[in-house]
Formats: sequence, C-alpha cells, structure tokens
Amino acid sequence: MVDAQPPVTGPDGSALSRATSAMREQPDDAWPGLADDLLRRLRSVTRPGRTVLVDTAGHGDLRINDRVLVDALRRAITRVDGCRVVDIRTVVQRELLDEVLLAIAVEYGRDVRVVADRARGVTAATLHDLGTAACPVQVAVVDVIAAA
Amino acid sequence: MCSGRVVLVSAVLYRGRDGQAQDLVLARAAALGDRDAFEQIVRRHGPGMLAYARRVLPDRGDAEEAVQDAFVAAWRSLERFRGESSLRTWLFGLTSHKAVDIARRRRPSPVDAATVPEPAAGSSSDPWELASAAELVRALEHELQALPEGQRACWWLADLEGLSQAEIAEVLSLSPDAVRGLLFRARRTLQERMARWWTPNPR
Repeated sequence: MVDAQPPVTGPDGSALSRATSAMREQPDDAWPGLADDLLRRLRSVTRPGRTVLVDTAGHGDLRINDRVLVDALRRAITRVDGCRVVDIRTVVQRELLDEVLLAIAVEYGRDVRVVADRARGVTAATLHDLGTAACPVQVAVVDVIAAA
Repeated sequence: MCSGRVVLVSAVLYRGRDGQAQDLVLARAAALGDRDAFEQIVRRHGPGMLAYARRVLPDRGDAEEAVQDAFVAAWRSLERFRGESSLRTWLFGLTSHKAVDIARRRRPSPVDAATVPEPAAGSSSDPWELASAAELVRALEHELQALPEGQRACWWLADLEGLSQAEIAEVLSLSPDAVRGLLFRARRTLQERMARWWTPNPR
C-alpha cells in the first residue's frame, strides 16, 4: 500500500511544472524595502551632460547642465495640448546653445503644423526664461497618437 | 524668437496599450528627466530583476546591490536605449552585467543549500496544497542552485521571466545557439531531479 501523497503535478503532469508555477507566484519580501532605498538613492544621482552658458545680464557667469535645460523643456512642452514629447536634443558648441531638436508625437485629428508651432513657441519661451541665447528650434513630428 | 522648421517624419497611428509600448513611453520620458516615469519603471521591473539577481548571486546583499547598480546605470544612460530590444531585456542585461562585476569582486564560495531562503506561505487554505507548494519551491530552489550558473540564468529568464531565447542571448551576451543548449540541459536536469523528489514510498 502506497502512502497517501499530496497532489504534486502541474499542467504538464510534472513536479517541475508545479514548482515553477508556485515559484512564479512567490513574492519577494525584500523588494518593498529595496525599492524605497533605491528611489532615495536615485534622487541624488546626477547625470552627465554638457555645460550651457546662461546670460545673467552682467551678474556673473552661470552655467547649467543641458540635462536641466532638457528637463525644463520637457515639462513645458508636455503642457501643449495634443503634443507628446518623444525626444529633445541640444546642440551645444563651446558652451553656447546652438540648436534644439524636438521630436514630438501629435494627437490624431489635430493640425500637425499648429501643434508643432506651439511646441516650438513654448520651447523658445522656456529658453528665454532660462537665459539661454535664441537659437533655431527644429521640430520633427515622428508619430501620431490616439486621443487621450 | 527662435526660427525653425517642421518636418513630418512618419504618421504611424500609435495603438500600443501593451506593456512593451508603455515601457517605451516611460523610457523616453525618463530619458528626458522625468523621475516619476523612471519610478514607474523601477516598480514595474524591479521585482523581476531582484528575483533574477538572487538566483545568480548567492548573497542577498550582493543581489540587491546588483539591482541598485543596474537601475543607477539605467538612469544615467537611458538616452542610449533606442528601443531595438524591449526595456525589460535591456534592464535584465544591465542586471546581468552588474551581477558579473560583483561576482568577480567576491571570493567564490560553495553554495550552501541550507541558505536557500524559505518560501513564503501560499494563499490556499488546503494544508496539503500549502505544504506541497512550499516543499516544491524549496526543492526547486535547491536544484536550481546546483545547476551551473549559465544554465540557471537561462532557465530563470526563460521559464520564470518568459524571455525569448533571442532576448536571453542579448541579456547574457551569448549566441542564440549557446542559449538553446544551456536551456535544454537545464530543463532536462531539473525535470529529472524534481521527479526524484516525489517518488512514492511503498509500505
């Protein structure tokens, strides 16, 4: 007489299959604590970037990392109706901002040119507020997105 | 006033609602400095990366360090992620490389099956179900640690994380043929060893 055994078979009849399923469902208790520590650490991680000279109207030199500039542009352009920022590239020559290249996606049904012009206008305004020199802003509409 | 021109490059209707498409949107936003988007990436992919790291590095602290280092590297270099592979594959690749770096720094030590972590209790109220699931997971952990590292990594990425063999090849910097061979051997070995754990005991 064989000892009664608990059911051990999985979808394909194997212990391995059952164990794999069980293992997949098993949460890792360490993750929540690690996630919090990790996100705290990431707040202090800086990203390498290029330096852009900013006009301070004679109050001395001010240089900003172009990552800061890109982040400011992203926040501003994200507020343009019907526009999603896909990419922002800066061309910097000898610490001067030479050009900004925008790649955007436009909501289906919108006038592409109107949205693109608004994105370019917001870019120009943001650059002016930051104190960078005026420069060309090239806009490429790289995608069409569904209306939100 | 800035001058400029508008160029229509493509007009592909964006239909993506699946995880991979969402990942691409998050990755693009995070690459431009959106920390909220990056936090979403961390929370989506971190558990899987940690589970993988814990199977390739015996020490829990080392596994957590590998995941932390992978995410720091991701944050600093996201603009280099162009979407040719999935974000998940890219992140697992970073984890794998960081795990290798850590393993090289540490003095090798034999794996102690007694250090394999206890599995968490399941949600079933059937005591037989609970005992068998926990026992099976413990058994599988034990057998996994006995596998060579390459087989263990391939098996985990394929059968727990669901990566394709091409994706695994990218994560581990191996050829697809190498992945195929490692996976075959891992599955065969685990199948044989797990079957032995449940041989009935006749009276």
